[in-house]
Amino acid sequence: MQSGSLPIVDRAVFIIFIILIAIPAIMPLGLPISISSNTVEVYRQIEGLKGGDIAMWITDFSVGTWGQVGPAEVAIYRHLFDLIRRKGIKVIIVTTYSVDGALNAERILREYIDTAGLKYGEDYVNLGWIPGYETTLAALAKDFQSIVKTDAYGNTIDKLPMLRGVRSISDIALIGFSTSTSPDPYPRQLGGYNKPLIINTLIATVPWTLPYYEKRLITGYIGAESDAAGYEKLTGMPGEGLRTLDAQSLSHIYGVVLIIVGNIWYFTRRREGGRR
Amino acid sequence: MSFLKRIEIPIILFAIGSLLPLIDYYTGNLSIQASELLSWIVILVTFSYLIGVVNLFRYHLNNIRRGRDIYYSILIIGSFLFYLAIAYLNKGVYDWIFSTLYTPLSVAISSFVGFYTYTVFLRGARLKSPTAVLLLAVTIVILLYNTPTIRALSPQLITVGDWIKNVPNTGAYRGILIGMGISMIVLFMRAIIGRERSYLGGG
Repeated sequence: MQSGSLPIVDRAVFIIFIILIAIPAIMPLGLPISISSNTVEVYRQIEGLKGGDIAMWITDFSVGTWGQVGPAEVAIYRHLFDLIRRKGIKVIIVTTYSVDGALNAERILREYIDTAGLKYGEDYVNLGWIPGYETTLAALAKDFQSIVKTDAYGNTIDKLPMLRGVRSISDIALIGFSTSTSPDPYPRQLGGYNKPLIINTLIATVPWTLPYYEKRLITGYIGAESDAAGYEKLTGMPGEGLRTLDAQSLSHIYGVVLIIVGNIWYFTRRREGGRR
Repeated sequence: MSFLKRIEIPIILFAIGSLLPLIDYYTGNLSIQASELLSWIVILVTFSYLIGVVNLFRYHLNNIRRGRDIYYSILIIGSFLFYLAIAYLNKGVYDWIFSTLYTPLSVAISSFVGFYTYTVFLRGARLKSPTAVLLLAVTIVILLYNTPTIRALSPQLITVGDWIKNVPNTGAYRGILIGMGISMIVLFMRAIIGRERSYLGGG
Protein backbone atom coordinates (compact mmCIF):
# COMPACT_ATOMS: atom_id res chain seq x y z
CA MET A 1 0.00 0.00 0.00
CA GLN A 2 1.35 3.42 -0.90
CA SER A 3 2.21 5.50 2.14
CA GLY A 4 -0.15 8.46 2.60
CA SER A 5 -2.91 7.17 0.30
CA LEU A 6 -6.30 6.29 1.68
CA PRO A 7 -7.51 2.69 1.31
CA ILE A 8 -10.20 2.28 -1.32
CA VAL A 9 -12.80 1.25 1.30
CA ASP A 10 -12.27 4.44 3.30
CA ARG A 11 -12.51 6.50 0.14
CA ALA A 12 -15.80 4.82 -0.71
CA VAL A 13 -17.10 5.54 2.82
CA PHE A 14 -16.23 9.23 2.51
CA ILE A 15 -17.61 9.59 -1.03
CA ILE A 16 -20.92 7.94 -0.13
CA PHE A 17 -21.13 10.19 2.94
CA ILE A 18 -20.57 13.29 0.82
CA ILE A 19 -23.19 12.17 -1.70
CA LEU A 20 -25.72 11.46 1.03
CA ILE A 21 -25.40 14.90 2.59
CA ALA A 22 -25.28 16.62 -0.80
CA ILE A 23 -28.52 15.09 -2.08
CA PRO A 24 -30.83 16.98 0.35
CA ALA A 25 -28.98 20.22 -0.41
CA ILE A 26 -29.82 19.84 -4.09
CA MET A 27 -33.20 18.16 -3.74
CA PRO A 28 -34.88 18.57 -0.31
CA LEU A 29 -36.49 15.29 0.68
CA GLY A 30 -39.00 16.66 3.18
CA LEU A 31 -38.51 13.77 5.61
CA PRO A 32 -40.88 13.77 8.60
CA ILE A 33 -39.71 15.37 11.81
CA SER A 34 -40.69 14.87 15.43
CA ILE A 35 -40.26 17.62 17.99
CA SER A 36 -38.66 16.47 21.23
CA SER A 37 -40.25 17.23 24.59
CA ASN A 38 -37.20 19.20 25.74
CA THR A 39 -37.54 21.50 22.72
CA VAL A 40 -41.19 22.13 23.54
CA GLU A 41 -40.21 22.86 27.14
CA VAL A 42 -37.64 25.47 26.07
CA TYR A 43 -40.12 27.04 23.68
CA ARG A 44 -42.75 27.33 26.41
CA GLN A 45 -40.33 28.91 28.87
CA ILE A 46 -39.27 31.57 26.38
CA GLU A 47 -42.81 32.11 25.07
CA GLY A 48 -43.98 32.51 28.67
CA LEU A 49 -42.04 35.77 29.10
CA LYS A 50 -44.27 38.73 29.83
CA GLY A 51 -44.10 42.37 28.78
CA GLY A 52 -41.25 44.21 30.49
CA ASP A 53 -39.39 41.00 31.37
CA ILE A 54 -35.68 41.02 30.70
CA ALA A 55 -34.13 37.95 29.09
CA MET A 56 -30.34 37.54 29.15
CA TRP A 57 -28.83 35.32 26.51
CA ILE A 58 -25.15 34.35 26.86
CA THR A 59 -23.70 33.38 23.48
CA ASP A 60 -20.59 31.37 24.31
CA PHE A 61 -20.30 28.81 21.54
CA SER A 62 -17.22 28.64 19.32
CA VAL A 63 -17.21 29.40 15.63
CA GLY A 64 -16.26 25.83 14.66
CA THR A 65 -19.49 24.48 16.15
CA TRP A 66 -21.71 26.85 14.20
CA GLY A 67 -23.13 23.91 12.27
CA GLN A 68 -24.41 22.27 15.43
CA VAL A 69 -25.27 25.13 17.76
CA GLY A 70 -25.78 27.98 15.29
CA PRO A 71 -29.19 27.01 13.86
CA ALA A 72 -30.79 26.74 17.31
CA GLU A 73 -29.09 29.95 18.41
CA VAL A 74 -30.52 31.78 15.40
CA ALA A 75 -33.96 30.30 16.07
CA ILE A 76 -33.86 31.42 19.70
CA TYR A 77 -32.64 34.90 18.81
CA ARG A 78 -35.49 35.18 16.30
CA HIS A 79 -37.97 34.05 18.91
CA LEU A 80 -36.66 36.54 21.48
CA PHE A 81 -36.75 39.42 19.01
CA ASP A 82 -40.23 38.40 17.92
CA LEU A 83 -41.26 38.58 21.58
CA ILE A 84 -39.78 42.09 21.80
CA ARG A 85 -42.26 43.09 19.13
CA ARG A 86 -45.23 41.05 20.35
CA LYS A 87 -44.95 41.38 24.09
CA GLY A 88 -42.42 44.12 24.76
CA ILE A 89 -39.78 42.02 26.50
CA LYS A 90 -36.19 43.22 26.62
CA VAL A 91 -33.13 41.24 25.62
CA ILE A 92 -29.53 41.42 26.84
CA ILE A 93 -26.92 39.61 24.76
CA VAL A 94 -23.51 38.97 26.28
CA THR A 95 -20.49 36.71 25.85
CA THR A 96 -18.25 35.50 28.66
CA TYR A 97 -16.11 32.64 27.34
CA SER A 98 -14.18 33.77 24.29
CA VAL A 99 -14.40 36.32 21.53
CA ASP A 100 -15.95 33.67 19.25
CA GLY A 101 -19.25 34.06 21.06
CA ALA A 102 -19.28 37.82 20.59
CA LEU A 103 -18.50 37.45 16.90
CA ASN A 104 -21.25 34.83 16.54
CA ALA A 105 -23.73 37.10 18.32
CA GLU A 106 -22.85 40.03 16.09
CA ARG A 107 -23.16 37.86 13.01
CA ILE A 108 -26.62 36.64 14.03
CA LEU A 109 -27.79 40.18 14.75
CA ARG A 110 -26.36 41.39 11.45
CA GLU A 111 -27.46 38.60 9.11
CA TYR A 112 -30.47 36.90 10.66
CA ILE A 113 -32.41 39.39 12.78
CA ASP A 114 -34.61 42.18 11.52
CA THR A 115 -34.23 45.00 14.02
CA ALA A 116 -36.26 47.53 12.06
CA GLY A 117 -38.52 49.44 14.39
CA LEU A 118 -36.67 48.28 17.50
CA LYS A 119 -34.69 50.71 19.64
CA TYR A 120 -31.21 49.70 20.62
CA GLY A 121 -30.65 50.40 24.29
CA GLU A 122 -34.36 50.30 25.06
CA ASP A 123 -35.49 46.99 23.53
CA TYR A 124 -32.23 45.10 23.31
CA VAL A 125 -28.58 45.56 24.06
CA ASN A 126 -25.42 43.74 23.04
CA LEU A 127 -22.82 43.86 25.79
CA GLY A 128 -20.20 42.08 23.70
CA TRP A 129 -17.46 40.00 25.25
CA ILE A 130 -16.76 40.47 28.96
CA PRO A 131 -13.70 38.24 29.52
CA GLY A 132 -13.55 36.11 32.61
CA TYR A 133 -15.89 33.20 31.89
CA GLU A 134 -17.02 31.89 35.27
CA THR A 135 -15.88 35.03 37.09
CA THR A 136 -17.95 37.11 34.71
CA LEU A 137 -20.96 34.84 35.25
CA ALA A 138 -20.58 35.22 39.01
CA ALA A 139 -20.31 38.99 38.68
CA LEU A 140 -23.31 39.21 36.32
CA ALA A 141 -25.40 37.28 38.83
CA LYS A 142 -24.24 39.13 41.89
CA ASP A 143 -23.53 42.71 40.92
CA PHE A 144 -24.33 43.37 37.27
CA GLN A 145 -23.26 46.98 37.16
CA SER A 146 -19.84 46.33 38.70
CA ILE A 147 -18.59 44.79 35.46
CA VAL A 148 -20.97 46.12 32.86
CA LYS A 149 -19.68 49.61 32.19
CA THR A 150 -20.19 49.81 28.42
CA ASP A 151 -21.80 47.74 25.70
CA ALA A 152 -20.11 46.13 22.67
CA TYR A 153 -20.10 49.46 20.83
CA GLY A 154 -18.66 51.65 23.59
CA ASN A 155 -21.95 53.15 24.82
CA THR A 156 -21.94 53.73 28.57
CA ILE A 157 -24.75 52.37 30.71
CA ASP A 158 -26.41 55.74 31.18
CA LYS A 159 -27.07 55.73 27.42
CA LEU A 160 -28.76 52.31 27.68
CA PRO A 161 -32.06 52.92 29.49
CA MET A 162 -33.02 49.25 29.76
CA LEU A 163 -29.93 48.51 31.88
CA ARG A 164 -30.41 51.21 34.47
CA GLY A 165 -32.54 49.10 36.75
CA VAL A 166 -30.57 45.87 36.32
CA ARG A 167 -28.54 45.28 39.47
CA SER A 168 -28.32 41.50 39.68
CA ILE A 169 -29.82 38.30 38.44
CA SER A 170 -32.98 38.95 40.42
CA ASP A 171 -33.85 41.62 37.81
CA ILE A 172 -33.57 39.08 34.96
CA ALA A 173 -36.61 36.94 34.16
CA LEU A 174 -34.89 34.27 32.06
CA ILE A 175 -31.30 33.33 31.40
CA GLY A 176 -30.09 31.24 28.51
CA PHE A 177 -26.70 30.29 27.24
CA SER A 178 -25.07 28.49 24.35
CA THR A 179 -21.86 26.59 24.80
CA SER A 180 -19.59 24.20 22.90
CA THR A 181 -17.72 23.13 26.02
CA SER A 182 -18.60 22.28 29.58
CA PRO A 183 -21.99 23.43 30.86
CA ASP A 184 -20.74 23.28 34.49
CA PRO A 185 -19.97 26.98 35.17
CA TYR A 186 -23.43 28.19 34.19
CA PRO A 187 -25.61 26.26 36.65
CA ARG A 188 -22.82 26.69 39.22
CA GLN A 189 -23.01 30.47 39.07
CA LEU A 190 -26.52 31.09 37.75
CA GLY A 191 -28.45 28.04 38.85
CA GLY A 192 -29.26 28.76 42.46
CA TYR A 193 -31.47 31.80 41.94
CA ASN A 194 -34.76 30.12 41.00
CA LYS A 195 -34.72 31.54 37.49
CA PRO A 196 -35.28 29.63 34.24
CA LEU A 197 -31.87 28.62 32.89
CA ILE A 198 -31.81 27.27 29.34
CA ILE A 199 -28.88 25.75 27.47
CA ASN A 200 -28.28 25.43 23.74
CA THR A 201 -25.41 23.05 23.17
CA LEU A 202 -23.82 20.25 21.17
CA ILE A 203 -25.57 16.91 21.17
CA ALA A 204 -22.45 15.42 22.79
CA THR A 205 -22.82 17.84 25.73
CA VAL A 206 -26.48 16.98 26.40
CA PRO A 207 -25.64 13.96 28.65
CA TRP A 208 -23.38 16.23 30.70
CA THR A 209 -26.31 18.63 31.11
CA LEU A 210 -28.84 16.05 32.28
CA PRO A 211 -27.80 15.80 35.97
CA TYR A 212 -28.34 19.56 36.26
CA TYR A 213 -31.60 19.29 34.33
CA GLU A 214 -32.76 16.54 36.67
CA LYS A 215 -32.22 18.81 39.65
CA ARG A 216 -33.76 21.78 37.82
CA LEU A 217 -30.58 23.83 38.00
CA ILE A 218 -30.92 23.85 34.23
CA THR A 219 -34.59 24.11 33.32
CA GLY A 220 -34.40 23.38 29.59
CA TYR A 221 -31.98 22.21 26.96
CA ILE A 222 -31.62 22.18 23.20
CA GLY A 223 -29.09 19.77 21.69
CA ALA A 224 -27.93 20.13 18.12
CA GLU A 225 -29.69 20.35 14.80
CA SER A 226 -32.71 18.12 15.34
CA ASP A 227 -33.87 20.23 18.26
CA ALA A 228 -33.08 23.36 16.27
CA ALA A 229 -35.36 22.16 13.47
CA GLY A 230 -38.09 21.39 15.99
CA TYR A 231 -37.70 24.86 17.51
CA GLU A 232 -37.96 26.49 14.10
CA LYS A 233 -41.13 24.54 13.46
CA LEU A 234 -42.61 25.66 16.79
CA THR A 235 -41.79 29.31 16.18
CA GLY A 236 -42.93 29.15 12.55
CA MET A 237 -39.64 30.65 11.38
CA PRO A 238 -37.83 28.03 9.23
CA GLY A 239 -34.08 28.26 8.96
CA GLU A 240 -30.89 26.24 8.71
CA GLY A 241 -32.11 23.63 11.17
CA LEU A 242 -34.99 22.48 8.97
CA ARG A 243 -32.89 22.85 5.83
CA THR A 244 -30.14 20.53 7.11
CA LEU A 245 -32.44 18.04 8.81
CA ASP A 246 -32.68 15.70 5.84
CA ALA A 247 -28.89 15.52 5.61
CA GLN A 248 -28.64 14.80 9.33
CA SER A 249 -31.23 12.02 9.14
CA LEU A 250 -29.46 10.39 6.19
CA SER A 251 -26.05 10.62 7.85
CA HIS A 252 -27.31 8.98 11.05
CA ILE A 253 -28.94 6.14 9.11
CA TYR A 254 -25.70 5.78 7.15
CA GLY A 255 -23.80 5.41 10.42
CA VAL A 256 -26.07 2.57 11.53
CA VAL A 257 -25.74 0.88 8.13
CA LEU A 258 -21.94 1.08 8.38
CA ILE A 259 -21.94 -0.57 11.79
CA ILE A 260 -24.11 -3.43 10.47
CA VAL A 261 -22.17 -3.80 7.20
CA GLY A 262 -18.84 -3.66 9.05
CA ASN A 263 -19.85 -6.49 11.34
CA ILE A 264 -21.23 -8.62 8.48
CA TRP A 265 -17.92 -8.08 6.65
CA TYR A 266 -15.94 -8.98 9.79
CA PHE A 267 -17.86 -12.19 10.54
CA THR A 268 -17.81 -13.27 6.88
CA ARG A 269 -14.02 -12.91 6.72
CA ARG A 270 -13.61 -14.68 10.05
CA ARG A 271 -15.69 -17.61 8.88
CA GLU A 272 -13.69 -17.84 5.63
CA GLY A 273 -10.48 -17.81 7.70
CA GLY A 274 -9.42 -14.53 6.15
CA ARG A 275 -6.42 -12.53 7.27
CA ARG A 276 -6.69 -10.98 10.73
CA MET B 1 13.21 41.88 47.10
CA SER B 2 13.72 38.50 48.74
CA PHE B 3 10.58 39.09 50.83
CA LEU B 4 8.50 39.40 47.63
CA LYS B 5 9.84 36.11 46.37
CA ARG B 6 8.63 34.19 49.38
CA ILE B 7 6.20 31.40 48.52
CA GLU B 8 3.80 32.40 51.31
CA ILE B 9 2.75 35.60 49.56
CA PRO B 10 1.00 34.03 46.55
CA ILE B 11 -0.52 31.40 48.85
CA ILE B 12 -1.96 34.15 51.09
CA LEU B 13 -3.23 36.02 48.02
CA PHE B 14 -4.85 32.82 46.78
CA ALA B 15 -6.45 32.17 50.16
CA ILE B 16 -7.85 35.68 50.47
CA GLY B 17 -9.10 35.66 46.88
CA SER B 18 -10.81 32.31 47.36
CA LEU B 19 -12.26 32.87 50.81
CA LEU B 20 -13.83 36.28 50.10
CA PRO B 21 -16.45 35.00 47.64
CA LEU B 22 -17.01 31.92 49.81
CA ILE B 23 -17.70 33.99 52.93
CA ASP B 24 -19.97 36.25 50.90
CA TYR B 25 -21.86 33.27 49.45
CA TYR B 26 -22.47 31.51 52.77
CA THR B 27 -22.89 34.44 55.14
CA GLY B 28 -23.76 37.47 53.01
CA ASN B 29 -20.96 39.41 54.68
CA LEU B 30 -18.09 41.08 52.76
CA SER B 31 -20.41 41.38 49.76
CA ILE B 32 -18.92 44.67 48.55
CA GLN B 33 -15.38 43.36 48.82
CA ALA B 34 -16.29 40.16 46.95
CA SER B 35 -17.91 42.15 44.12
CA GLU B 36 -14.86 44.37 43.87
CA LEU B 37 -12.62 41.32 43.70
CA LEU B 38 -14.69 39.86 40.84
CA SER B 39 -14.24 43.11 38.90
CA TRP B 40 -10.48 42.98 39.46
CA ILE B 41 -10.37 39.40 38.15
CA VAL B 42 -12.23 40.35 34.96
CA ILE B 43 -9.63 43.08 34.34
CA LEU B 44 -6.76 40.67 35.04
CA VAL B 45 -8.22 38.11 32.61
CA THR B 46 -8.40 40.81 29.94
CA PHE B 47 -4.71 41.55 30.43
CA SER B 48 -3.87 37.87 30.28
CA TYR B 49 -4.95 37.90 26.65
CA LEU B 50 -2.31 40.54 26.05
CA ILE B 51 0.26 38.14 27.45
CA GLY B 52 -1.02 35.56 24.97
CA VAL B 53 -0.46 37.97 22.09
CA VAL B 54 3.06 38.76 23.29
CA ASN B 55 3.84 35.04 23.49
CA LEU B 56 2.43 34.46 20.03
CA PHE B 57 4.71 37.13 18.58
CA ARG B 58 7.71 35.97 20.57
CA TYR B 59 7.35 32.37 19.40
CA HIS B 60 6.78 33.11 15.75
CA LEU B 61 9.37 35.88 15.47
CA ASN B 62 11.81 33.40 16.98
CA ASN B 63 10.82 30.87 14.31
CA ILE B 64 11.40 33.44 11.59
CA ARG B 65 14.79 34.36 13.02
CA ARG B 66 15.84 30.71 13.12
CA GLY B 67 14.33 29.89 9.72
CA ARG B 68 12.05 27.24 11.21
CA ASP B 69 8.55 26.96 9.62
CA ILE B 70 9.22 30.46 8.42
CA TYR B 71 6.32 30.72 5.98
CA TYR B 72 3.70 29.58 8.51
CA SER B 73 5.01 32.02 11.08
CA ILE B 74 4.96 34.90 8.58
CA LEU B 75 1.41 33.93 7.62
CA ILE B 76 0.25 33.85 11.23
CA ILE B 77 1.80 37.18 12.17
CA GLY B 78 0.73 38.77 8.91
CA SER B 79 -2.89 37.62 9.16
CA PHE B 80 -3.04 38.67 12.82
CA LEU B 81 -1.86 42.20 12.03
CA PHE B 82 -4.05 42.44 8.95
CA TYR B 83 -7.21 41.37 10.78
CA LEU B 84 -6.38 43.70 13.69
CA ALA B 85 -5.97 46.64 11.31
CA ILE B 86 -9.11 45.80 9.35
CA ALA B 87 -11.18 45.75 12.56
CA TYR B 88 -10.47 49.46 12.96
CA LEU B 89 -10.21 50.53 9.32
CA ASN B 90 -13.12 48.75 7.62
CA LYS B 91 -15.73 46.97 9.72
CA GLY B 92 -17.53 45.69 6.61
CA VAL B 93 -14.47 43.76 5.41
CA TYR B 94 -13.87 42.52 8.95
CA ASP B 95 -17.42 41.13 9.13
CA TRP B 96 -17.13 39.67 5.64
CA ILE B 97 -13.91 37.82 6.50
CA PHE B 98 -15.54 36.41 9.62
CA SER B 99 -18.78 35.32 7.92
CA THR B 100 -17.41 34.15 4.59
CA LEU B 101 -13.92 32.84 5.41
CA TYR B 102 -13.36 32.20 9.08
CA THR B 103 -16.70 30.58 9.96
CA PRO B 104 -16.83 28.10 7.05
CA LEU B 105 -13.15 27.18 7.52
CA SER B 106 -13.66 26.60 11.27
CA VAL B 107 -16.75 24.50 10.63
CA ALA B 108 -14.90 22.51 7.95
CA ILE B 109 -12.04 21.70 10.35
CA SER B 110 -14.52 20.59 13.02
CA SER B 111 -16.31 18.48 10.40
CA PHE B 112 -13.21 16.34 9.74
CA VAL B 113 -14.15 14.39 12.85
CA GLY B 114 -17.31 13.23 11.11
CA PHE B 115 -15.41 11.49 8.33
CA TYR B 116 -13.19 9.53 10.70
CA THR B 117 -16.18 8.61 12.84
CA TYR B 118 -17.66 6.78 9.88
CA THR B 119 -14.49 4.78 9.24
CA VAL B 120 -14.53 3.86 12.92
CA PHE B 121 -18.11 2.64 12.50
CA LEU B 122 -17.06 0.46 9.57
CA ARG B 123 -13.74 -0.84 10.85
CA GLY B 124 -13.78 -0.49 14.61
CA ALA B 125 -17.30 -1.31 15.74
CA ARG B 126 -16.94 -5.08 16.15
CA LEU B 127 -19.13 -7.49 18.10
CA LYS B 128 -16.20 -9.20 19.79
CA SER B 129 -17.54 -9.52 23.32
CA PRO B 130 -20.82 -9.21 25.27
CA THR B 131 -19.78 -5.71 26.36
CA ALA B 132 -19.17 -4.74 22.75
CA VAL B 133 -22.59 -6.10 21.79
CA LEU B 134 -24.22 -3.97 24.50
CA LEU B 135 -22.20 -0.91 23.50
CA LEU B 136 -23.07 -1.25 19.83
CA ALA B 137 -26.73 -1.93 20.54
CA VAL B 138 -26.93 1.25 22.61
CA THR B 139 -24.96 3.15 19.95
CA ILE B 140 -27.44 2.11 17.27
CA VAL B 141 -30.44 2.96 19.45
CA ILE B 142 -29.05 6.39 20.31
CA LEU B 143 -28.05 7.11 16.70
CA LEU B 144 -31.58 6.33 15.58
CA TYR B 145 -33.06 8.16 18.60
CA ASN B 146 -31.24 11.30 17.47
CA THR B 147 -32.54 10.89 13.92
CA PRO B 148 -35.67 13.06 13.71
CA THR B 149 -37.17 11.03 10.87
CA ILE B 150 -36.85 7.71 12.70
CA ARG B 151 -38.25 9.30 15.88
CA ALA B 152 -41.26 10.48 13.94
CA LEU B 153 -41.85 6.99 12.54
CA SER B 154 -41.19 5.00 15.72
CA PRO B 155 -42.55 6.32 19.06
CA GLN B 156 -41.28 3.18 20.84
CA LEU B 157 -37.76 4.26 20.02
CA ILE B 158 -38.37 7.51 21.90
CA THR B 159 -39.33 5.56 25.03
CA VAL B 160 -36.20 3.39 24.87
CA GLY B 161 -33.94 6.34 24.01
CA ASP B 162 -35.39 8.45 26.82
CA TRP B 163 -34.73 5.64 29.30
CA ILE B 164 -31.11 5.26 28.18
CA LYS B 165 -30.64 9.02 28.36
CA ASN B 166 -32.36 9.59 31.71
CA VAL B 167 -31.33 6.50 33.69
CA PRO B 168 -27.91 4.94 32.98
CA ASN B 169 -26.48 7.96 31.20
CA THR B 170 -27.59 10.56 33.74
CA GLY B 171 -26.57 8.28 36.61
CA ALA B 172 -23.07 7.88 35.21
CA TYR B 173 -22.63 11.61 34.63
CA ARG B 174 -24.00 12.37 38.05
CA GLY B 175 -21.31 10.15 39.56
CA ILE B 176 -18.63 11.88 37.48
CA LEU B 177 -19.85 15.34 38.53
CA ILE B 178 -19.97 14.37 42.22
CA GLY B 179 -16.44 12.99 41.96
CA MET B 180 -15.28 16.17 40.24
CA GLY B 181 -16.92 18.29 42.92
CA ILE B 182 -15.29 16.37 45.76
CA SER B 183 -11.91 16.53 44.01
CA MET B 184 -12.28 20.28 43.60
CA ILE B 185 -13.02 20.71 47.31
CA VAL B 186 -9.99 18.61 48.28
CA LEU B 187 -7.76 20.47 45.85
CA PHE B 188 -9.05 23.78 47.15
CA MET B 189 -8.40 22.82 50.78
CA ARG B 190 -4.88 21.70 49.91
CA ALA B 191 -4.21 24.92 48.03
CA ILE B 192 -5.57 27.09 50.87
CA ILE B 193 -3.23 25.51 53.43
CA GLY B 194 -0.31 25.62 51.02
CA ARG B 195 0.10 21.88 50.42
CA GLU B 196 -0.85 22.13 46.73
CA ARG B 197 1.59 24.32 44.85
CA SER B 198 1.22 23.22 41.24
CA TYR B 199 -0.48 26.51 40.37
CA LEU B 200 2.69 28.29 41.53
CA GLY B 201 4.74 26.57 38.88
CA GLY B 202 5.69 23.65 41.10
CA GLY B 203 7.49 25.88 43.62
